[in-house]
Amino acid sequence: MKANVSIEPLRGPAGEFLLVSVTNSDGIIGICDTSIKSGIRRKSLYAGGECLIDIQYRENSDDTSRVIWQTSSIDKAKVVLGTKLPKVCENYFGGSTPLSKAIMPVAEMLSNGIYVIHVGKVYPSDGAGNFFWDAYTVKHEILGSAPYNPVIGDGKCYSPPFLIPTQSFSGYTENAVGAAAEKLVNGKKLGGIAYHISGMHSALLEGHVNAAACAANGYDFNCINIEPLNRVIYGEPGSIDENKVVALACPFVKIAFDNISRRMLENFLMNRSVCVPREYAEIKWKADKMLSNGVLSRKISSAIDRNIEGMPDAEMMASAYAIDELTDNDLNVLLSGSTTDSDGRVIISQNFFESITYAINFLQLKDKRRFIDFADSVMRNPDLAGAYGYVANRLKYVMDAKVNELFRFISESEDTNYAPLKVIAERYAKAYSDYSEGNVKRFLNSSSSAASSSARSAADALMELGSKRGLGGDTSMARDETYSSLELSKRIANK
Amino acid sequence: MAFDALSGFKIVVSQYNLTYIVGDYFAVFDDESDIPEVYEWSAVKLYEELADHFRIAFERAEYTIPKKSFVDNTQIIHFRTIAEGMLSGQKDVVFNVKNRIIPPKYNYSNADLSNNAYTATGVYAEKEINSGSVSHIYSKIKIPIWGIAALTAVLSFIALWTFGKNIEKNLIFYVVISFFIGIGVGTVIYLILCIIARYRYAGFLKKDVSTVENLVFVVAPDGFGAIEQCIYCGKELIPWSFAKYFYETKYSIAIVCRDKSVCCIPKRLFQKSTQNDVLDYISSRVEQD
Repeated sequence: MKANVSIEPLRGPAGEFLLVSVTNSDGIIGICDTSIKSGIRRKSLYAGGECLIDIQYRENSDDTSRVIWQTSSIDKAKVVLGTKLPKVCENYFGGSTPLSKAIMPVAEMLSNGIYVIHVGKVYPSDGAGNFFWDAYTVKHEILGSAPYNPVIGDGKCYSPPFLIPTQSFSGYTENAVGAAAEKLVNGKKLGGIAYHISGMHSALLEGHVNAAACAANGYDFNCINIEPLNRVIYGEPGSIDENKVVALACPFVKIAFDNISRRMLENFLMNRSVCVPREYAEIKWKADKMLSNGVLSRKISSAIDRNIEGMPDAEMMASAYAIDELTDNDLNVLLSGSTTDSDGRVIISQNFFESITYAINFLQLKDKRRFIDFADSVMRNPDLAGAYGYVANRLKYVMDAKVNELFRFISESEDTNYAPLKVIAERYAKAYSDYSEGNVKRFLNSSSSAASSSARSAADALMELGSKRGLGGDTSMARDETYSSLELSKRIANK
Repeated sequence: MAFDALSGFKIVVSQYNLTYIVGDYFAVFDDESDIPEVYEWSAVKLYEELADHFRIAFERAEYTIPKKSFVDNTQIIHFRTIAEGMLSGQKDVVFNVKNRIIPPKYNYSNADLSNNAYTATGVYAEKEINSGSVSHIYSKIKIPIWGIAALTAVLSFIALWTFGKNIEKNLIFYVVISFFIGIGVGTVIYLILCIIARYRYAGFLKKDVSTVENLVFVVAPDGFGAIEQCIYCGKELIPWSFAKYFYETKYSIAIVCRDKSVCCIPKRLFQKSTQNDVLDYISSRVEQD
């Protein structure tokens, strides 16, 4: 039976998207309920008869993080999926087919319902600084996976940025990643297909090697994101619409009923939030299992490790989505101890320390230079001693001369407020010293081969830049030339 | 929430120009507008099923869905299963459900049907329902019945004593006659009960579409149930904590729930060898009346 798919292109605050309605589908890809204990819900992402990912949470707990783990590999569903997923990627990212046409083979495999499909930048990380292939083989709560994020609130829309792998780690080979990296260097666009699971996390259905290649070489990784439109928004309390549903929502967009055709609305209303696939019994049985990567001699490349550390985490992303803009004046007001500006506008939040932490996260993602300056000002302000611990933890992975100077100041200071931070400061000093030495060595090694290697990685280039700073020993220059690995990769690509 | 795997559907009520959709939400489309009124099931204040219609009331609106608007009996079962499944566990709803041969679906909750479950499928036979109904009423009023019988016997004896002749000579004869009058009165009352049971079954036949449906009967470690086969998903049960007591008749085992509904499990649908196991299973979890 061939599914009926209807597509409407629309535009929302977070960008353009396709509103896709699927009916009469065989439901090859979807999410089903595999709960086994009352009070605890377990949902499973499946493809064909394979259970790929489990999501577990307490019932009626929208604001708590989900426990997410990988149960199997999508490779086992290849018989059912065929080559449709890679072809969709190839057609769309190769530029030969528009999204609305390219996505059809995948849309036909989705379970009945309404979906929002859009393209956006994603990170192959778990939102806590771990490469995605390392993060989901142990059951634990995943940061930023709660459907409701109190930092972002109800009003803002965002594109879920973090990925959960569906392929087993055996799919990662240096050769495959190398081949994908070569395509990147040759100017070919690589991407993937992701299916939204919960909060800021989506399951990567296709493009694992591409994601690894982009992470290794510091390129942006874009995905076709499929988000089931299955959350509802109620009328204002006290209004005539109280207790009535007035709009549909997913992280990327909120759509009022008057913007959706009646046919699509009927499709939404007739479909239950939990579908029952044909192979339900098999999927439920497999949902009890957990994917084991076994004892693999392979390890991810150090370039991936380095670049993943530089990628934003869930708190940074949440702050970035929550805050539209922070001017220097706003930051000065916050540093003066106030949460409202001279016009009475609340800059971030009425809670002062909440404002400081959100501002720190926002700046760390959006503007590294201002982040370091603001963090330095916070750390040297005795009135903000309550925020020292949080800011120090944010700074400890940022290798920068000014941060090093700050931590040296903390180590030498007699101020009791800094006492709990001494350990972090000493560790940072050691890490920074190793980092500088490593950069010098890499610079010396790479300078001999740099001319012959046109396809150098962004991470290596970052190291090179750092080593130049180290050799120069001029902190003001270092301050002016601090880039994230991703920014740097763009500069290299432009060159 | 229970029966959440059943797919939703729409009911067109042409006489009111309305289209209802039941699923995770209760939605009403006015045929002149494309924007529906969509309600959460948790906002329902009253749920009623009468012989000819369903009525669902919210704080500011009330909807009546005539049974003749449904395409067939299966759709009626489907509707009430989704609605009652979504309303299960909600304490603020007033339920007014009458003439149900099996327990309403708001008694059910999601459960794990392990391998230890006993299941059987079939349609009720009249004698099973009748014997169940008689036993159910009898179990409720057996003390008054035999109280009346005993009282009648005593009164008869007093009457015979007062108006009879040769009392000393006929004493044993009067006692025997009084005893049989008591027995007779008790039996007449019992026969009236049987007539009521038949009448009740005729009522079920007219008013409850489940009477003629194939039913799946389940007795499992987590609970029990009698569910129409057309909507049976294999993951919903009435927890044992909802059972008040059970009684056994010649034809069936009837479990009485806390909401006074009765789950009557016909013995004949189980193999002879497992009938005792099922009975033991039930008696180890619920008190026998």
